Amino acid sequence: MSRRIVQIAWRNLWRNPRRTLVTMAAIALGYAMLLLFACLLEGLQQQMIKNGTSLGLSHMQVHAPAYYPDRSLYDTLGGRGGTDVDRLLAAITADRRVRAASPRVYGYGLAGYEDRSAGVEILGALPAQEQQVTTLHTHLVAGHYLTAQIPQGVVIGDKLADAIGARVGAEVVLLLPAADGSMGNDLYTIVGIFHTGLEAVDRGLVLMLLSALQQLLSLAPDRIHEIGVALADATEATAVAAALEARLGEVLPVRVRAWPELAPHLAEYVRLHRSISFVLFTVVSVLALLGVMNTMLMAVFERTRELGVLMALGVRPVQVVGSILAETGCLVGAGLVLGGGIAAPLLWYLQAHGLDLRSFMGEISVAGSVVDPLWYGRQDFLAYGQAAVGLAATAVLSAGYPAVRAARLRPTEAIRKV
Amino acid sequence: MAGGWLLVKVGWRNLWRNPRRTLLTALALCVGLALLLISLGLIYGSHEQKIANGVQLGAGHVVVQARGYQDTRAQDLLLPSSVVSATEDLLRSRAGAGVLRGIGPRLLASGLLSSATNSSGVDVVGVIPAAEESISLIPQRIVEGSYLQDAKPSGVVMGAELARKLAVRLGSKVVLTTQAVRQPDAQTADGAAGEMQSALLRVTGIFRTGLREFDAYTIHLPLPEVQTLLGAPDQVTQVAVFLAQAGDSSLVAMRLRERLTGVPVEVLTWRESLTEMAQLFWLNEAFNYVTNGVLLVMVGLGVLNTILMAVLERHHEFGVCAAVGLRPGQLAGMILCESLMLAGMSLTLGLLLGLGVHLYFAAFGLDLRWFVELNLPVWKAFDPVFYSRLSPGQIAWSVGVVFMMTVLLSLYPALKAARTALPDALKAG
Repeated sequence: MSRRIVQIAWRNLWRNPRRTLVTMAAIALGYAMLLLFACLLEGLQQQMIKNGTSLGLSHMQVHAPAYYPDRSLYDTLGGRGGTDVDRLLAAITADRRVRAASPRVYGYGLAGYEDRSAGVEILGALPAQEQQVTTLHTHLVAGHYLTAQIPQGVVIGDKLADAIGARVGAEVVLLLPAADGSMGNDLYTIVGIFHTGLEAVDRGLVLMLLSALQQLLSLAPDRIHEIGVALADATEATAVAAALEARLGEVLPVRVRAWPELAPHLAEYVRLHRSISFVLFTVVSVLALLGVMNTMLMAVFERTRELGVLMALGVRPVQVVGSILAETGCLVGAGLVLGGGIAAPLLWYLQAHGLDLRSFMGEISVAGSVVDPLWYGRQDFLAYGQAAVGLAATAVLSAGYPAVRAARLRPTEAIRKV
Repeated sequence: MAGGWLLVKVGWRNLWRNPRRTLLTALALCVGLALLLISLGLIYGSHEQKIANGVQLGAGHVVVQARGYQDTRAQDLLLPSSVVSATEDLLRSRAGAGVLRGIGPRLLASGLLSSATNSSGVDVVGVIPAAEESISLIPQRIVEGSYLQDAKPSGVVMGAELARKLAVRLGSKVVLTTQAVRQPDAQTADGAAGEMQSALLRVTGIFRTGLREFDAYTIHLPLPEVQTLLGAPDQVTQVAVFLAQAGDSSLVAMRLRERLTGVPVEVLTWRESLTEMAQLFWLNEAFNYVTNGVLLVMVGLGVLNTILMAVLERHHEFGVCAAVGLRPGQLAGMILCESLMLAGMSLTLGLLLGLGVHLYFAAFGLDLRWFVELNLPVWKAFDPVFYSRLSPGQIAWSVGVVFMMTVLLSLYPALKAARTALPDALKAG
């Protein structure tokens, strides 16, 4: 029975192919746009989270409770006595969701070359570990990454290099307050220059070996400020951070912060975009609703006589409602399939080749992350499904009014209508 | 055409032969136009807000600085005082009257600021306090103490985040260390070139802008203090020019370039000095146009459907009209009249709805917190309340676009009506 209803509904649709096609095209177009929008948005989010976390932050950071956000030199993990770094690292990487962990020391001071200088943040790290947590080593434009063979080597951003006029091979002076109250001051050789597109990093970050920075800061080897942690899945960060903090807290007072807490602007930006896509969905739904309602009203009016005959022959009002709704369902379903069909190659293209805006813009720093002008889309099937179900539900609801009107027809009057 | 008025009257009646359909179509058109107006207003409004903030925190609408400074930010690229006075002369002359809001000569440097407990890298801005009061956002965002005054030569104003990090309060002492700039012509006489210089300063004011890059890194000092520290008497890094209208930026920049030809300077408008922001706006606007374009096509298809169906179901009627002597041109004219009236009616409603919402948002703002729960305090990150702005040109443009679309869409049904083949049409009834 129900199959017959769908069959009849489908046939009814094509009694006026022009009208059906135009309405279907409107739904298809709206849905295709929602799909492309969702795809680009997901791509943007993933890109922003990836760039925002992989250039410096990492997915999670383990600190002494008082360290963040002031980053005082003295608030090392385990307090002034320091801690067994290797054991701490082992405890962190014991969690299967953790991909890598990298111990870090920070210093804040001036980098000078000849007669120019600039304020910088100095990050001391172990090259092998740091490369698993952040991607600075993939953004080198000159020279190479830190190596243990050159203990006095530093890697700096391109904007900083421009500002102080230094190139690879140049010897820069780093000047910063040390833990013993003196001013640390030493010469370092630039071994590499990176360009990330993130203004703050390119202009203000100096990367050097953990041990070299500890020496400059007069910190003992077991005193570190932070452990940067990379996860297999960035979206789990908040949950993993809470679990890790509870587990590590049994042996050492620590705070574990996930990226949404470390980069609140980034997290808000991501959520803001979700709300924008919801507004867009609402608008498309309203327009689809108006179009479908119009179409189905017309369909019911021109079939008044036919419906009257059907009801006179014993078709119950519920069945009339059912057939109108089935017709709407077919119309919307076909529209969604058509929209999906139009969008599919574009979605694939966005994922594979990206939207190339390079001739219009460069990299943009937004909310503490970088937006690349070559904008890749990412498939967000959940959003595609939600949009389809939402649109279909709205459309079928909008056909409720024409359907009820049809069911309320009085066969005796309807039958006489031309 | 003799029957012109009659066609309009008949067209109007025809529209109301099926009031429900007409109203639904009108509603779609109305919503389409209103959306266009609202989204344009909100986007331009939010951009204006961001421009205003960016300009007030940055280098103004137009900035004059030594050539190459924008790219390198090299501390030793300085402007001689002659350029500063030339800029001031031009802008304070009659040509600048009514256009100019203020001029701020600034000397920028980076340094290390240390307190008894901690230290931090800072962006040093040497300013003329009286000039900054009217142009910069920072004097307006003082939360403790007061902004710099010319009378207190060794005061420093810093961001709240920086003050917290250094654990200082009003009256605390801090030490600023920076490197003196090279002076090619005065190197031997000055002796200070390239050396580290320190100065003891007292905190006189603390500001909070809500933007971490300022609150945690920016300090304002009196200009002479920084000039002494850097060994660069009478020199500044840039002259920030603030205008009454952001729209005058290009013109003022052009005038300044003419006046300063031959001098090694760069004159940049905010679009050039805040490139990332300008590009982000471009992206926003491009997205808005694409989205609105697609939505309008959706609306357009609905309109096409209505008019086309109205024409097709009146096949017989058109046949009769043609038989009693209505010419094809008049038939087409009647259909066009119908769609023009439909468009006129819905666009009026759409304009009312769109402008109504726009005026509401212009007065009270659209608070993004309605849609998404923002955990950060309001002053952080960005202002979540957007105020709508629309120019008469934008309104006219939006109405024009939707109107043209409706007219173009009704051409096909009108032609179809005009081509009614008499015998077939009469038989079909």
